[in-house]
Amino acid sequence: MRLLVGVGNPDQRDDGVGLWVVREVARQRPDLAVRELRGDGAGLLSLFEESDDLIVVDAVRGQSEPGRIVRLDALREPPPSRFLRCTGHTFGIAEAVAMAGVLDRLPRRLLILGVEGEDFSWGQDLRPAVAASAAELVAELLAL
Amino acid sequence: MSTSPDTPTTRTIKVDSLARVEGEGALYLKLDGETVQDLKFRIFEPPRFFEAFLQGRDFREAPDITSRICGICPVAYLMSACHAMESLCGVSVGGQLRALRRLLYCGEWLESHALHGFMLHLPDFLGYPDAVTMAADHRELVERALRLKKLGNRIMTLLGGREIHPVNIRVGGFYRVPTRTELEALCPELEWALEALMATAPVLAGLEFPEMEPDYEFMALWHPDEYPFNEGRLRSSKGVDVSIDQYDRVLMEEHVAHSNALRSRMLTGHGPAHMGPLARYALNYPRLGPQAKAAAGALGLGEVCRNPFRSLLVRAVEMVFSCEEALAIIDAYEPPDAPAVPVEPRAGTGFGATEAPRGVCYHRYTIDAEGIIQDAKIVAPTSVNQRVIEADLWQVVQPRVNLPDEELRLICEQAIRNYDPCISCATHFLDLTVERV
Repeated sequence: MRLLVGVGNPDQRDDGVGLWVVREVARQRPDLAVRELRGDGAGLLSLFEESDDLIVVDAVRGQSEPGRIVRLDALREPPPSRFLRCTGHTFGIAEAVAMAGVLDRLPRRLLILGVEGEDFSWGQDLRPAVAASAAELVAELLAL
Repeated sequence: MSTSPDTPTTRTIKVDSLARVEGEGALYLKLDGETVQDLKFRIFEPPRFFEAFLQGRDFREAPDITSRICGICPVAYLMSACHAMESLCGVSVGGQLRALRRLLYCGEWLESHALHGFMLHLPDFLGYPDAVTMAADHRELVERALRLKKLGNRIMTLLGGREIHPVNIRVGGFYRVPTRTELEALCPELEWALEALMATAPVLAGLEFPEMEPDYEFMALWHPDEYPFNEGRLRSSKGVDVSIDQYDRVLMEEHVAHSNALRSRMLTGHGPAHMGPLARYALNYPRLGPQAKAAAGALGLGEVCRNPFRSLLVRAVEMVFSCEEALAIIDAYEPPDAPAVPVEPRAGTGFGATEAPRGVCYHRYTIDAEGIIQDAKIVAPTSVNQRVIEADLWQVVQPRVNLPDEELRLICEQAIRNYDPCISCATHFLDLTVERV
């Protein structure tokens, strides 16, 4: 069973893009398995016990222009810890992937979809460029 | 990390983030020869987004809204908000509902202490830069920590409805209470956790910690009959003893020039206040259960521990306590007739304080007769602990000024990490700057 995982903080604007995407997918396709994480890497490790095929949607900061979508096969290219900035927690998503490698817990497939955020201040709306990319990702995930 | 010369005799070292602390902040050190000339620990707190957000909302919404402040300790915010509203409305939640709230807190302490103690703090004392590196050599320890954390999350999910941002908690109690069978299903894992923690004690007891024992003013909730989670008086080791509605007469938040965060200072002439596991333990040791006391003995702890680096050991004791308490609560559990007691609004101001894993989480609300929130004040324990963290750093840095910058950075990080500062409640990245004049 494929698991769709949204990561982020819904109260820090673009940081919540991952949650926005998976909630929208779940709204349109209630049959899909969806989980939400605040950014806790240990939580992601637990999800590796639920599924060996995961797609993680998260916010990215500092890579390129706002809204840009980054696709990363985490099994081939481990994410750098600063890549997934939205994890204010420092045992975050990147650390969870590295830890899973050490503990032989990596899933068979782990795709990370990052959206370059623009504004991580407190608030609940996505900036336009990020919202547009989020909608694009929703369509892409629904078509899988 | 980058090093850049400011002047021929000055070096500035900038570190992108402080590893393994929740969230981000900054530390600035100015060293003149062998003297610490200046030291500032800074946390960037956002504008009081949630306090402003709460104004105009129904009083019943406060627990859910404030629980979003922190992904690690939502229970602390949920519970402090509930207690504040209940006290305001003249309602007391007792019996099994109160016990279930304590059980919920057991879950939060377990998951938070397991994450911080074993994944973020322990690598400092086993000599690893992080938990991932540590896992290669100490796989069983890390597997154990992950399983302990998962148990905490499982308790929170059962009572809170979901792991992140619980939705089953409300002013007056719960929306749904668990069956006895559901709770009993937790028991085998809780029994395993007690055994696992005791089995870990020799490893922890054998660790070497930097020596340091400041004369802290410990501050925590104090309850005559129990180790505190949800209720108690605000006490300190130097004479503070007030009910929670007097909190604002003991601690006052103020802005400081080098920080966007509000930080608390004591109004009673002592301080700085030290909140969290060491404080709870020092003020409440007699009310720990027998297994927690046995764990403390096995870890070489007396009834008071003043070495902040040894807070790892006290967290382990509190994890044992959480398991022991959870089993006792489940053993005595009879489902209550109703999942909540009715709460009707009345105009006034209410106060709530509960023990987050990191210390006292304080809420104050003023509502009108219709239950609309007019004013809200929320103080996370990290806001209070900022001053004592800074005081510790002075003590840590002064005798080590001649260390290379990288070693100095590491020991400063460890000193900050002792407090498990949940900076994510209030801030973002941490930078460290060392200036040598």
